[in-house]
Amino acid sequence: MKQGFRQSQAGLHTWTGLLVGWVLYLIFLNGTVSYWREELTRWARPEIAATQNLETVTRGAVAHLQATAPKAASWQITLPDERASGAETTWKPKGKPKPLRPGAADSTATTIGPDGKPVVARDTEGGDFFYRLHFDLRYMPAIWGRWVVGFCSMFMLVAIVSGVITHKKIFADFFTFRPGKGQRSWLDGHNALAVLALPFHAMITYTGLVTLMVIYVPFGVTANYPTKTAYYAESAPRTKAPKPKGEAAPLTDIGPVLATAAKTWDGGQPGIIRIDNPGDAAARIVLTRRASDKLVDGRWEIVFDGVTGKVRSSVEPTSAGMITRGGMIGIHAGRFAPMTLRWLFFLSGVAGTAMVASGLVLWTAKRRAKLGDTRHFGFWLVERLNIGAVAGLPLAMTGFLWANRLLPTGMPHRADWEVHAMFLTWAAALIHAFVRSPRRGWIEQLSLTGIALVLLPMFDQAATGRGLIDSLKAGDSALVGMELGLLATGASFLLIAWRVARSQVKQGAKDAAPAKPAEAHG
Amino acid sequence: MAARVVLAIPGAYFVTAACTMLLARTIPAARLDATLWSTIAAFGIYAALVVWVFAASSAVRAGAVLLAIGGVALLGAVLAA
Repeated sequence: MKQGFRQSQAGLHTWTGLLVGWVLYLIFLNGTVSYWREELTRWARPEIAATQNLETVTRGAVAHLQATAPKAASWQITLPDERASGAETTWKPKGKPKPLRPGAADSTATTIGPDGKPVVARDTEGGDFFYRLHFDLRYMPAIWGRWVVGFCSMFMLVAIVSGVITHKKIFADFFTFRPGKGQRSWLDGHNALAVLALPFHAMITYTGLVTLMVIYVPFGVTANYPTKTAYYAESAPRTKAPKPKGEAAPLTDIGPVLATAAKTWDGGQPGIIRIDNPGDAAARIVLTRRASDKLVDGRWEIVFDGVTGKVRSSVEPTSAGMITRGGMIGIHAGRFAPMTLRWLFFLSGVAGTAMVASGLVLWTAKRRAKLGDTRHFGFWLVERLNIGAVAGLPLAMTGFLWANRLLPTGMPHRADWEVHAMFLTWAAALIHAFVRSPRRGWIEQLSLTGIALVLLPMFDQAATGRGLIDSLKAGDSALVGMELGLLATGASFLLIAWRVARSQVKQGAKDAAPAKPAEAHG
Repeated sequence: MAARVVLAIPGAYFVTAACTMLLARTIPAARLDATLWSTIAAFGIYAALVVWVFAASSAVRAGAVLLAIGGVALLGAVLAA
């Protein structure tokens, strides 16, 4: 083993990093954005105002279901958490339920506004789009997407371990930043970003794998359970609906039910209310606690008698294994996180995204120095793909936001077309990256993203009635945050574009001098 | 290099599978807890094995050690059933 442990790790790090870097960039960027999933959904549906009182919404939802589906087998109400708005009601008819085509919209779904009355909002996936893209990818069965994402995340975990080993002077490296030195600066930046948020990267990668662990490593389950169904029956037992009695009985008032739940859960609120056999003597109300109330991801559930309103049973996670798993998932998704911590999660995610991006750019910066002016197909390809991925993806995501604003509200399959618009923008960015010179490609795509983001709040102010000034007046902090966030993100992209434009002018003059080989990335 | 890639990606995965089964059956805890803890540990085991495959002095040595760990773990898992 003459090449040495550290060198073997450097090679492993460089090549695995490039192979999966583009996918990891997408995962990191969309995961980071997803810390604002609820705010993005609120922004994407300007028809719905902020929620003031959850009980008003819940009562409105029950009244709506009572009026439109009194003979249903079951009702379901999905309630917004503090950062969200708009409840969703769905119901199932009596008889054998027709299985819903995966991904198809539920035709019984109605959105209930903060005043408790049905509201028609534009058809959009909102923040959920970025959230699903983060682990399901798109245009392929979700399970394929999850395997691709899991495969790349496993590479990320290996890259973290090998990256730490590669940089023996890792903490010294952190304090070393030599700007304006081309490849050397990219390496310093990559190291600083990686070390700065190293605990976050390690945590987010490992816990991310844990969220879907039984898909990736089913062997623990197969070792101990005869079937997967047996495992799920033990880990997440379902409360079955009782058979209807056939005697009519009025549904109990939902107010005291909510009060009992809040008392049982130390002020916690339900995220989902399911009502089985509404209007029957055997009615049941099942409250599932919302995810934003607690760190541990798991099922807290209280079952009420639908006629008397008395508690019949309740469950919460008790298995140490389920709490370990739920705690890791909870830290990953950050649903519990109050604003200060949420910002820390978000900024760490930005650092992670920038780390992957700088690693990708470093790959080309290093080889440009070695190859000089010789034409090399692999280098050309990677350099252009880097532009289309690193600069093209945020441009495409901005395209999604613009499609949300510009597509006509009555358009059939509108939500799908927002997504198509995102991928069409991305395809255009990739083509652009191949036809323009690399320098032009970077500058044009970064500045276009910046301009498009900065213009969004201006469009909102002019056209939606929920622009920055309106939201400031209404005290709607989520939307104020969104508008300011869009402005700040846009300004950051313009700043980066300007820096690229400036540094490449300087570097043109320096290219004559031979570049020094990098130390760490053998 | 190609040999190490094969050893690392499918090879270490199978060894991880065997280790996970062994742990799931031997961790002294309730069945559900042992299942979940061993599955959580699997990613750490896999990462360590992959790093080690690339660090081993030769691919043959890496393969032999993987085979030995996997064999012992699988045997243990079968015996613990």
